[in-house]
Amino acid sequence: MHTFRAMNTDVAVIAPGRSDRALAPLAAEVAALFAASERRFSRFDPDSELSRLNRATAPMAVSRELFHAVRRARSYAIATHGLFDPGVGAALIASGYDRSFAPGALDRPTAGAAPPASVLQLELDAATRTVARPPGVTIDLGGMAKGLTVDRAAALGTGAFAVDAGGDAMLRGDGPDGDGWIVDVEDPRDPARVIASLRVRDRAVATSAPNRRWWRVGGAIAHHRIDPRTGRAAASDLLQATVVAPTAELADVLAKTAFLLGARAATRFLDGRVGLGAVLVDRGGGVVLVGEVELVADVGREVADA
Amino acid sequence: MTTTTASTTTATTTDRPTEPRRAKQAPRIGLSAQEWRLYLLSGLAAVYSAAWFALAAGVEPAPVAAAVVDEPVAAPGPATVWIDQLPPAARPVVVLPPGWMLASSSTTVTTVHAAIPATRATPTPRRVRVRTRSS
Repeated sequence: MHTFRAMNTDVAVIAPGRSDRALAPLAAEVAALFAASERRFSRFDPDSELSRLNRATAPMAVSRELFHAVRRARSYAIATHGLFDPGVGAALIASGYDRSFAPGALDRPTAGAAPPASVLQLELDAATRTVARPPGVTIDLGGMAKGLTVDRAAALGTGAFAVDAGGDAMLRGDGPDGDGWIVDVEDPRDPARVIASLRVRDRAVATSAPNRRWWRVGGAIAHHRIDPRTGRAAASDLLQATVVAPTAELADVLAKTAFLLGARAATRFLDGRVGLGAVLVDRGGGVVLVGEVELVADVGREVADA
Repeated sequence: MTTTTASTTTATTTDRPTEPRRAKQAPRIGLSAQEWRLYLLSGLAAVYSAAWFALAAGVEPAPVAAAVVDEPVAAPGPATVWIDQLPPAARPVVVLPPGWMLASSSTTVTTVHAAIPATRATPTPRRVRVRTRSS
């Protein structure tokens, strides 16, 4: 296993049965891919391509990668009826999340609000790969960009191979022993504990919760899960939503969507869809399993035992 | 000396030692060393030329780099144009290698390469488990 730091999180490159020396070149390739993605998609790097697009006052020709990411973001916004919408960057900044930070490290006396904005307001020209951005629409690809980078990185390996970027992971193949990969879902109330363990094969997982990106605004706690419908931090009856999906990008999008929907609506939204599963944790600590989820028996195990 | 009255020529002739004349002498190739050298050089040159033409006929001529001459162009616009200064429809499609990006006229880009994070080998647990959480 090799690890490195990128996109403000720890990234692990896992290839069971392969020596560290044999894995090193592939890990370096994955690290380079993450570095390139961060350079392109980061909202916090003023020189990133996304930041330049967010500053552009005229239509801007963008790279193939950014154009496709924006186009897919629009598709997700339509498919989720606007619950997933990376056009809420201005609301995130107004709420105080204007830089990359460790949990609780920001302290704002006040926070503002931004008018609702959507990636659907962008005008895309596929012939010239040009994006026209109306004032007020600030794009934050955040977890979706991380998911798509995980997917691309996982495609570099063969056999049992996994790329885990701080909880957004793509797990290829049948796992270390041929009986699947074991995924521990963290307990949102106690990061030292696991609330559920899943067995997955050739699937990605992603988790959405406000417990790791929060800050103080005038003594109150604010978080980064913005509800695009209101432009404000979401008030959900869920503490956390974990989604299993064919790709890490889709898993990230659906985890955010499920969190905003809440327990009942998320269950209706995800249940019965081929290739999808979810683990929802409600405010009472109850765990709801949805769709294609194979639970492993050792629920409640201490993370330290892993 | 036999006479003094004869012309000098006669006298000279008279003075030349007489050789016995042969009735019919075979043609003799009387070449000087310099003439031999000239013949030898001509022969070698002929062989060289024949060999050169024989070999050169089967060989593609080496490409000759055309002389590139910058013709003076009457350029009414600036010599350098940033791609984002062009109208969107006029911008060429530029495919960049991974990790590269286009510089902008509006920002100063100090580096075009992304800093690649160093990876480090981490002990792999006996039973590999992946933990998912919000990040």
